[in-house]
Amino acid sequence: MSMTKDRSIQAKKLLNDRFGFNSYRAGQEEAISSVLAERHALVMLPTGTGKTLCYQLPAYLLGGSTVIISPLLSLMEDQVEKMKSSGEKSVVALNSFLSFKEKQTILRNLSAYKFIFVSPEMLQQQGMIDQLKQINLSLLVVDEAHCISQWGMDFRADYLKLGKVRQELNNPLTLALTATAVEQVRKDILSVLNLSSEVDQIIYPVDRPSIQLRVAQSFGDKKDQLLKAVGEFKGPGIIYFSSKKLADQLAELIRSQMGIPCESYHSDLDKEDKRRIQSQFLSDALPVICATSAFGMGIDKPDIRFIIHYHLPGSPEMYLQEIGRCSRDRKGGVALLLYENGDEAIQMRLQENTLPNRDELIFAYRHAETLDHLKDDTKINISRHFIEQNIPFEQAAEMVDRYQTHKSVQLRTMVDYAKQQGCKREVLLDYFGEKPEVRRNGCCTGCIRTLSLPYEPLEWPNLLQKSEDLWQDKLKFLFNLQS
Amino acid sequence: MTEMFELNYINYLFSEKTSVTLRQMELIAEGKRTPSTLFTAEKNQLQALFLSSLSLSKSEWVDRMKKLSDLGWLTQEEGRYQITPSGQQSKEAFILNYPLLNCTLEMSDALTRKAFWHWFIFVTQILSEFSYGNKGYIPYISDRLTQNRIKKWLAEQGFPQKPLAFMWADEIKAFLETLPDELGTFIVNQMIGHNYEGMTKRQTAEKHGMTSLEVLLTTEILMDRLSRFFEESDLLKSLWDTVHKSCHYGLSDSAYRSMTFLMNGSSIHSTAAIRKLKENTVKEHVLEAVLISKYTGYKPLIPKEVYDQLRKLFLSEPSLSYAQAQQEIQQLEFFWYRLVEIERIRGCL
Repeated sequence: MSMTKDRSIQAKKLLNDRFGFNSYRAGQEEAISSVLAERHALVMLPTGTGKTLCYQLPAYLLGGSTVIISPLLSLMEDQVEKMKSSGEKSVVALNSFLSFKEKQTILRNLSAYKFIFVSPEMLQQQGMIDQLKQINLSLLVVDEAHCISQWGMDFRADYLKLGKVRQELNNPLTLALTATAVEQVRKDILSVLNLSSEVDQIIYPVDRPSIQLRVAQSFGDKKDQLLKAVGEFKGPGIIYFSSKKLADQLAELIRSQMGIPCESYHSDLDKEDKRRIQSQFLSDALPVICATSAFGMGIDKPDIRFIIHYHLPGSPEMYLQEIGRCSRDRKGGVALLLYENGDEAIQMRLQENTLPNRDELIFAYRHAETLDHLKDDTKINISRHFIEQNIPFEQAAEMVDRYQTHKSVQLRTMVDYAKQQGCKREVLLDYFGEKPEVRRNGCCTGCIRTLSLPYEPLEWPNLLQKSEDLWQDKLKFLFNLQS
Repeated sequence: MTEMFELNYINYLFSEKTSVTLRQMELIAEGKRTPSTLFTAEKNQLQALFLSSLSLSKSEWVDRMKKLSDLGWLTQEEGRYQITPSGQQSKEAFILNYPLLNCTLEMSDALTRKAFWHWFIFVTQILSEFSYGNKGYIPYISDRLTQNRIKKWLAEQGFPQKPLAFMWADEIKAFLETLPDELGTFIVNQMIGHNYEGMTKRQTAEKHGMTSLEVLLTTEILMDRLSRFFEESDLLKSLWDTVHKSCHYGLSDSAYRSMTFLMNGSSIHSTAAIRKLKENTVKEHVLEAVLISKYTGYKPLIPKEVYDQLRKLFLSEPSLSYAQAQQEIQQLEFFWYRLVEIERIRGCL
């Protein structure tokens, strides 16, 4: 797993000149070395440690095009815009947002793009594969690769077919990236992508010692606890909810009772308002966001100080992804989970709605031809996947059972995390087969009952105060006009 | 407050000529482009409701109309709603409180008004960043097609970046000076630019003590007012024209394509053949163009003697039905009847 000295020097220079960094973060150099030595790699680095650099930097040295398979349309768009704004114009996203005409234009000129982002769904189209075969594809990146595994966070049938896609593309040099994958998931990733041999595995602990872990037991007083926590934490933060309505209500409460600028962010907002909220948050005009899981992927703000979960997340993977958005600058952050007995019921209900039960699976197998006419949901997608892959019914039913059991284990780990005495970090890391190596910032509420903040709290800005200026002055500011 | 504004607004949409069913209201608000919906909108003077910012589900429509009936502002007869004298009084009071609503909104501009707002904000962002010499920013609009169109529009203006930014700022300033300060602030607060994030609709509503519907309506009406201010603003006019063209002058994509053929001399028959459509579909496209864009070149599509006869019949009997007209004119096409009927309701006979 070594690159030549020349390549290493070139990479270091590029890191400095193009990306503006003096040194690599943990794991980056190893990942880049593997790619530049033209070895397949599975890279697991904790959230917020700069995984994108692991493919962006080598892409410039490898020549040709890099194809990045990315799971979320919004994430893909964010990544493309971010690259464009940092000066890389040779980047494009191929997804369902494109019109037919636009797609055709891009496909005709595909080789002109250095970075091609594509959704796994798009890769199921033969036309797309044919076009990709025509270009000089130097690197295939599978972002959020845990989606490949049935045991990952989400069941994405199209991700499970990526092995076949890779084969059709003549098994190009491949880099699979993830932040949270247990050993079984990592095995699955390698197996689905047919990377079982000749692959470098660069696996770093998922732990983020600079984030203090807190759990607060609620007794019908979650709203009060939340307001108290926001008042104490003072700093940019995100509060996660499982419900859009509650996100709206609590944002309103924080504004009206605490006078803190706060907005809710979820799928009901239009694109433009979402963009405004993101920008306000990034520029510190808006310190607190009440969000559903729709917010956060692709948000690169180093000084987020706290993440609060109002509802229990369904899995340790999801929890680590979300709390990993704070303290990216390593200057300290707090992850607080507000837990009330029985909170897991919400997640159980969500899981019931995700997986087909035995009767639904029987119906799907009997009436496979009608599935295309039914609502496109996860249950249908899973059933369709089994049928398309010619998996016998009993085997499929068993897989669903196992998947269900796995989901239960994930949820039980989260309940243990919330309820168990002792070190919270140990509970989380144990799920990933790890042990805490470093304990900082008081570690967690399991280790120390009364914790102090691991960072210097800031005073809240007042967004509405800023808006008192005259429109004439604002216009001058907007267009850099002297008075 | 939110609900009362909404009820007042629905009531405001009614005139003495309005007599519509709930379903018709719903279809017009959705922006349904069937000739019958468009005709209903025009006949009932509900153009402002077309593609409205008022976004209600069926059950919400039922609820609002019931509330308006309970207030005594609307009355219902055989499923059709009409405004009452008390409703008329409330409407007048409402307009006094919201003088901006005292305007006529054209159906042809419905889509353009909405799209123009986003282009206006995006161009402001680009030019604001230009004025600070900054190229590294996240664009307000992320779809590539619109980005390319705006890029092209900027290039077509033929000015270097900074002077263009100053001209744009001057035109905006000139327009805002025609408005009360409150409305100037309303627009500028929502702009985006260099180190300037702009308010969301919710924040704007809170800041200006408005409901979210009021924010949307105010924005739309201000864009309409802006479109009437063009004598003094070359850049704004040019941008509006570009947006209007990209919105197919208010027509659906398919109607726009058919009309392009027809206006270049193709007949209905050959347009249908080229576009692999039924002739009736092309006729519907003509009606869409007449009703939305006030297209006047349709007369050659009606046999002259049929047109003359229909005109005479309508002059003697304004409420002439298609069935009655059929008794007078052999093989009368509904398409011809409807075109002349539109002339009648527009007072152009």
